[in-house]
Amino acid sequence: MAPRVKLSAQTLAVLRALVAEPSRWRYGYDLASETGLKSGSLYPILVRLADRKLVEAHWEEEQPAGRPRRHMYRLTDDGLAAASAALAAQPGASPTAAPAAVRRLAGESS
Amino acid sequence: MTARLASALTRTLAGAARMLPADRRPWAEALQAEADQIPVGRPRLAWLAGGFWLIAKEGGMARKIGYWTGAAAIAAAAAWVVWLSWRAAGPADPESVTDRVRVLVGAGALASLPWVARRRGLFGPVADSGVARLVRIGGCAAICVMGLGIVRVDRHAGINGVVGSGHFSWLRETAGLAILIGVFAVPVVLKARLPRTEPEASWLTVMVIGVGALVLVPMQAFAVGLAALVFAATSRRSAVTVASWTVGLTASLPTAIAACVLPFVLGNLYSAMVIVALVATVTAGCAGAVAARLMPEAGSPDELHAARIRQGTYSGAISGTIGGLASAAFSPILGEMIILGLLAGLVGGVLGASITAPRTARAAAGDLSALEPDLQ
Repeated sequence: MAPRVKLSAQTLAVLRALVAEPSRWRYGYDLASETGLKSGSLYPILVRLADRKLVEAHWEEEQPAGRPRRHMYRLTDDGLAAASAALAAQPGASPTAAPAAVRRLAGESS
Repeated sequence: MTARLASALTRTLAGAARMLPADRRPWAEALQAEADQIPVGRPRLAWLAGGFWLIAKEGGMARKIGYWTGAAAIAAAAAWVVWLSWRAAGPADPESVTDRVRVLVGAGALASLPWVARRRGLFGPVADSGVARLVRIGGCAAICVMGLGIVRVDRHAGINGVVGSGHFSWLRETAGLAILIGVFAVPVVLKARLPRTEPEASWLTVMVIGVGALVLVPMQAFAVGLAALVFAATSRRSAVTVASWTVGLTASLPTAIAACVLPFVLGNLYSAMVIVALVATVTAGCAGAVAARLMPEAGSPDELHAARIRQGTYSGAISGTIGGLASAAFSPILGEMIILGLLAGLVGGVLGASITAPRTARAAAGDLSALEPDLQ
């Protein structure tokens, strides 16, 4: 039997926001507004997800007028699979989670 | 006012981000780049404050600050001991030069060894584990306590006292240091000349030579040796595993407690010292056995056996040394227990590991044979 893995509510909130529109590049304040997380909580979560190659990040290429360039984030293919599985494994979701994918995400919650 | 504060925070955040490793810096810069988009006032201040939390978390700042605060405290303690030694020994005391040199050499070793050997990486930088940092700071503190012990003995001995250290002699000091270097070279020479020597035999040889050396070397040479051991054992190149450190540290507690309690319970210093040395040997034996068992299985059986003996010996030596140092720091048993603890720890560690290593090797073989039916 696969061990039960607990992801923090904050991590799940970030994953939920990223899964909603997986192809769209998001930026920090955008994600913070949607999830209600403070920057000090959001960025360490993004760092962990990026370390595990579940999130890809890049700087905006063009210099926009009137503001600095943003660092943008979205789920990788692996990240999308892992996030979908993690969200599906939550109570109330359909029981189709892939345990290995959930365990891969678990590293960042510990 | 808030805008000014936010501006100051932004500048400070930019400076603090430089302390992060290169792969983490873009995250702090990303957070900072978005600060302009956050509504002015408390939301922007909170956003920037989160940046400091990110830097503290990703840069391991709490651990670094703790370590460097500890290092600064050690430097202050060493300076204090040097000052005390100058105050304690009067110019009329013929042994004052010896005592001052002892204290100065100990403090000098603490200050210079990591710097001198940093390029070769033998003594520093410290390994990336909390236990290694704790032990390095604790070991340096113990050497300061040794210095305090010297000052205390000197103060009570008085002019021409019986508990003195004799007149200063360059010949004796240099010979002591040479003996100590020789002891450290023994394992290297043994490994190079007799590569097939059993690990137990190598360690026992080192112990026998070590006993002789520790009796002969003057205290300041011993302080240099102890400082070298602490820095080498806690450096990034150290072969001591975190498990061995943890087991050794835990096993040192009974010795330290026995050393603090027994002199008062028994009322006889020498009986207490014998019992404390026995406790140190037994606990070091247990530490050696446990550390050997905790060694993960890898490599050939011979390599695994040697690795288990090594880790068991390290763990026993750690247990005995720390127990001995704690004894010297907190109880009337001074000085002797530092040496006795180290030796008892080495003996116990080698014995404990020798008992456990073959058994676990056989157990591992047994486990594999149990799997054979499944493989067929």
